[in-house]
Amino acid sequence: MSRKRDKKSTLRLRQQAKLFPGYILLILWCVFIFVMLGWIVIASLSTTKELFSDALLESGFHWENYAYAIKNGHLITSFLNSLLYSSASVFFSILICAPAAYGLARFHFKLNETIRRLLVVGLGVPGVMIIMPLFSIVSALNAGNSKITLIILYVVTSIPFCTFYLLPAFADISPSYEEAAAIDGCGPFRTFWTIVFPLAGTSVTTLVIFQFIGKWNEYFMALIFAGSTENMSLSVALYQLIVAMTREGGWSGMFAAVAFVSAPTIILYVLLSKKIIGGATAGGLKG
Amino acid sequence: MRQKKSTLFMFIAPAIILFLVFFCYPVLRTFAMSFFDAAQMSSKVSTWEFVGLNNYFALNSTSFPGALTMLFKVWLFCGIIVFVAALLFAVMLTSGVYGKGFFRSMLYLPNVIPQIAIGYMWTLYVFSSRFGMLKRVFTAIGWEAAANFAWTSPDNMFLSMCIAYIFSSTGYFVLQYMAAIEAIPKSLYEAAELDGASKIAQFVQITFPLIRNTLVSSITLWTSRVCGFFALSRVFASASTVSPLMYIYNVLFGTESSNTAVGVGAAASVVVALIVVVAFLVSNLIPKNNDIEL
Repeated sequence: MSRKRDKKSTLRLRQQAKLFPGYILLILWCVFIFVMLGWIVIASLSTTKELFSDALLESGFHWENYAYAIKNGHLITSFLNSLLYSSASVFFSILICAPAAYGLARFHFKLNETIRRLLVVGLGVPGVMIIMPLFSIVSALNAGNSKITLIILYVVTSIPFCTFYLLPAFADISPSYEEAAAIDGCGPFRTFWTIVFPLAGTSVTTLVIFQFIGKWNEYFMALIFAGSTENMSLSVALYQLIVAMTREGGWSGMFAAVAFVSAPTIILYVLLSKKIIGGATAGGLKG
Repeated sequence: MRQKKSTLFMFIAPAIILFLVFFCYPVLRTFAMSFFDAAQMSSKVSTWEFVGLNNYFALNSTSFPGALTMLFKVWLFCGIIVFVAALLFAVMLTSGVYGKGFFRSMLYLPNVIPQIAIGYMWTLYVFSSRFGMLKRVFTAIGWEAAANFAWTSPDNMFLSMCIAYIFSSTGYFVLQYMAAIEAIPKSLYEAAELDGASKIAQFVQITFPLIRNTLVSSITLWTSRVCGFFALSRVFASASTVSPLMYIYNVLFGTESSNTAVGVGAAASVVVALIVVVAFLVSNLIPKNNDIEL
């Protein structure tokens, strides 16, 4: 018995030894990330002078770097803006895409195939194609810098992905649930939101988290449609702040800004990495 | 189950109407605009003047061809490195390493950090010529030439940007390939092991053909990802790092907006969109490897 186990464990050991070069690469990657993030956090708490004289943290923790970056970069406002853009756009895209995905998965009708094709095309056409007309519409309405424009853009550009992501989830749910609900006199909308939608809960939460991070990190559209100080998202704010601070040479403040902007999604990722990875591997669709 | 038409309509209409109004209509309008001369983005359609393909010809004398070349270089060079690295990591992580979940999360981590922040982590710290990580490491191991390499000088900006881009893209493809490899039945490898096939033979004979479809579709994903290249282009600002999207931004809102017509910007957008659409079509034309049932 024990000899058998020995044999098994030596086999395992030999197998692991073969993977040694792989471990080195993986560990190097991790070390790189830890050193990079760690150094940036430490640098953000030192003074600029200490950065250049290689004496990090010599005079203790300088939290005022963060206070300075947050105040000058309007980082609290832009944090709240990012939060609003991401959560509102994810909420509304689920609100309209979930019923659409359900409709396409459940009902057989003439245009079903056409609508699916249209959405596939939507997956392929990049967002840059819709920017100019939308910009002209919002500037005609004098809403060039309103928060609602960006939210609409985010919702609209995620319709194809969200619908396709949820389609198989609803297709997998047995129609007998709805049949039972219909017999009990429950209308189709109540049936959908109270019975069918919760059954697709796992897919929905994965999609919500994945989309949330995607919108949080979006930069191109945010720069165009939310560039003003009161509307800018975190990425937009970070760029402006660093450009301004490079002129002044406030290096430790820049690192504080980078750390502050990177922290929210990293924390979210640490808490929910399984869900986020699940969203990223979903069927080779683009986010 | 029988459903009334009106119910069906209520389920599908909000998404489709929004999509048609705010997506399809703008796409068609941009496409149309690329054949017209318009004074401003907000000019009424009635004031547009038809100029045929002139906007496309006009692109030639701007910096747009340079931006397309930059895009192609990123697509090809970064693409090769990203795919090889991602495949390597995916094979490693699926061959029984300890801490698989942890390593996988670490590989994907750069994807969740805003690209602007990633860009600054590299330019402000890793590539810094004063306290940069690369300078420190190369000095420590005595590679003076490498330690003094000016990563952030305009000449080397493109290379530096590619390194940062590869770093932030690899993890995504590792996940795609891992999912594909994990779908392969273990029994195939056990049988190959019994027959004495080496790890490399196993990869060439089993893994590679069975993840071929994923590899093909990842080329499409890569193309559409690269066409969206923007944030790093802005952080690593230099003439050699202007991406097509950056160019369009400059034409419409930035440095080139006074001397380039909006129709030219529309033409550039159409070119970028066509690249992505063609990539989608081509990957659909490549026959899928369906003869192997899993």
